[in-house]
Amino acid sequence: MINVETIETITRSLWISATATLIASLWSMPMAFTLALRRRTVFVEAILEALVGIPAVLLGLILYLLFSSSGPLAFLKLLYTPFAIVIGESLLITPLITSACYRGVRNILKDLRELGLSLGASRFQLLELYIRETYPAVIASIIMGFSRAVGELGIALMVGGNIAGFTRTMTTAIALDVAKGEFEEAIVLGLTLLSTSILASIAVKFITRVDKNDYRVE
Amino acid sequence: MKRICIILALLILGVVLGWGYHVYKFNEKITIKIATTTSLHVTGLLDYLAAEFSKKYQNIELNFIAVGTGQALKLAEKGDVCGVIVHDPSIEKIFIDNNVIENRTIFAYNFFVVVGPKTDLANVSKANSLEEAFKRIHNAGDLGKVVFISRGDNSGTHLRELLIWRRASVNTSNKKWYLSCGCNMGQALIIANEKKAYTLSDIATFIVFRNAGRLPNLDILYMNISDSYTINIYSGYVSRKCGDVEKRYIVEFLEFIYENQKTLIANYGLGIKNEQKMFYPIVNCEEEIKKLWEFFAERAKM
Amino acid sequence: MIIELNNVWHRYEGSKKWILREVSVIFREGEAVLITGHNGSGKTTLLKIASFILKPLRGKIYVDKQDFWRLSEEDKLRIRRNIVYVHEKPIMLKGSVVYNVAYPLLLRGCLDDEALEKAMYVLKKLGAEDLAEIDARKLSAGQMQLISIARALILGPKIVFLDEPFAHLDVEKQELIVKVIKEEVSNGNGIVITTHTNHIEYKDLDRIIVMKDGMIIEDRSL
Repeated sequence: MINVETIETITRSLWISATATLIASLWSMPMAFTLALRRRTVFVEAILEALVGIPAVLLGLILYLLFSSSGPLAFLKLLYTPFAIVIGESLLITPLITSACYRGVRNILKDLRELGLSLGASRFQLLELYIRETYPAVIASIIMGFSRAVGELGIALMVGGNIAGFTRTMTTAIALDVAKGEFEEAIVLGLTLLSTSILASIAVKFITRVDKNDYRVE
Repeated sequence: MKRICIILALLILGVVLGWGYHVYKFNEKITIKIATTTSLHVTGLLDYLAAEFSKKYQNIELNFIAVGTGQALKLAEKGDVCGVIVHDPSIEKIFIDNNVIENRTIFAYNFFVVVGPKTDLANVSKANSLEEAFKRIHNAGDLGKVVFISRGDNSGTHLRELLIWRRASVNTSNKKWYLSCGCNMGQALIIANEKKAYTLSDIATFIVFRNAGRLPNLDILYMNISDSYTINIYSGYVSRKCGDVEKRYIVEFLEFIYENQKTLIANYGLGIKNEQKMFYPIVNCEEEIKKLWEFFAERAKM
Repeated sequence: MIIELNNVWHRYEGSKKWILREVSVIFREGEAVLITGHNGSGKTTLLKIASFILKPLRGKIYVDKQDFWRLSEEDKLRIRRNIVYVHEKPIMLKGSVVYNVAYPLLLRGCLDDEALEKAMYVLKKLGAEDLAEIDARKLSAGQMQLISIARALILGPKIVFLDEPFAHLDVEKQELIVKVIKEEVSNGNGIVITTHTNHIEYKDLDRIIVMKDGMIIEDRSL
């Protein structure tokens, strides 16, 4: 059951989702930090948290219409390529990473800003301070984003097309096995998916050695 | 901090390498995208035909995108695929008339069969026509004895099913025994198996799922190769919006399938078991099949 | 250095209540000032505005006659580096105590060795040198307060704003802080403290400010 094609599919899935997560993090983190430094955030919070649950297939449909040969972004020639899945997944997980990161740093960030300013940190030094003091929360939100990306199906199907050897991901392969009635294969692949996701998560946590100590005087 | 930078750098390197690999693969061959139905795709027939085709045309890569019939033709309409291979004459006709697809190439057919529980409380196995089988199901259903699973998704199978109900002059709306799942053929079979219910299925999908051991409760209860209402016709088309280079090759592929029906299609799926054929070539009955296509294209109206 | 608040009003985003009303006050080097008042009278906000952490909704802040909030980023930074504000509930950064104390120096580009040396010196002065290598986040509330004051003083800023510095300290440490404050003032630096208790005697102060409901009701020299 584990053959070259399966290994290729797994590698491809991980690569696509990792890229998507990286890209999404690049814009999500600044957004989360900016939001955390504001006071009147209820409205934005509500929208953000609602968007976390956007159905992947809906986003996939919208992107398909954009990338389609008769759509406005046809010239990018992205449809049915892995790149389209990367873009789609990065959009899908942005609300998740942003809101998780935001929730994780919200309490600390304002205080860090005060502390940094009061001790004479420049703008850049403030940023360094934020990242240094909050990176466990940031890393956690990135891992969450990755898990969502690697487990999504709607986007991979709609803009990827589940083409064998090219845009087949673990999730679309599972869907195909189910459609074929090959349930055992589907479950094995599904467990592989979860295992790789867990392994990746453990690896990241280990590398960044998350420290859970609370620093506040309460 | 340094550790993180190194990890990040490695990650970015991996991403860039991956992109390079994919861009390289991208430009290697000419790819022709063909939309098809999930049920046809899972039988494996198309991958088999594509593999044979590739032996002759090594620089062409055929990519199959398996979706629902409606979506497949929509993809053709939008120009995202070069070809479609489907089996729903009435829907095909609409898209032919609207100049979305052309170059119809009928290359195979098989049968719709009524499957159901071994107990066969509706006595379908005694029916002499598809129409009669449905009537029996209807009557047994009204008596609370049986359940029928409908695809409910505007697929060819679904439209054929509706046609038969019409011919049988019976009503299925608001009936408790008529369950519409809005699902594909495989899922409908699984549901039927779970509920020990009846359903209309194409023979190929049924065989795939039966061989996978998924349908222990179901048997073929009505199959009649001389009943023209059970005939399921497979056609390939070229999408009008296809680019010229790709068009050449999709036409070649369709011709290739058509020319090699006897060798490729007739023997497909017959392995050690050597039992029921999944697909039949049309070579010996081409005219009748074409007439049937016209017949179904007109008949199955919502 | 003279910081002048001119007719400052402030309330927080989304709130209808004015935390500060019509506040005009001057803080200068060489003075020990005590600000007292009930909880909610605006002491902390006043300190944050005077130390340039918050921008007041209305009113002006002049530093040596210059409108602070109109200055360039560089000028603002330069001035900020002469002031320190110490929060009522101090935040410790990830790392050792001595790192925390040395942090302000590191921000200003001071070399690691030098910074550590100076940090150890300050710790010794406060009798806290045995805390040096401990993870700063594992300190008790009182210890954190002491360290945050050490961190504030290490630069010898011209004016220090301490918000409730006596809150978690025992009597011994309180006296130590008072001693340190006196020393700072005699060195020509300014200290502004808020408290709502009586931990410091009037004889050690130069001025007392009383606040109520966001307004300054008393501002007299002693």
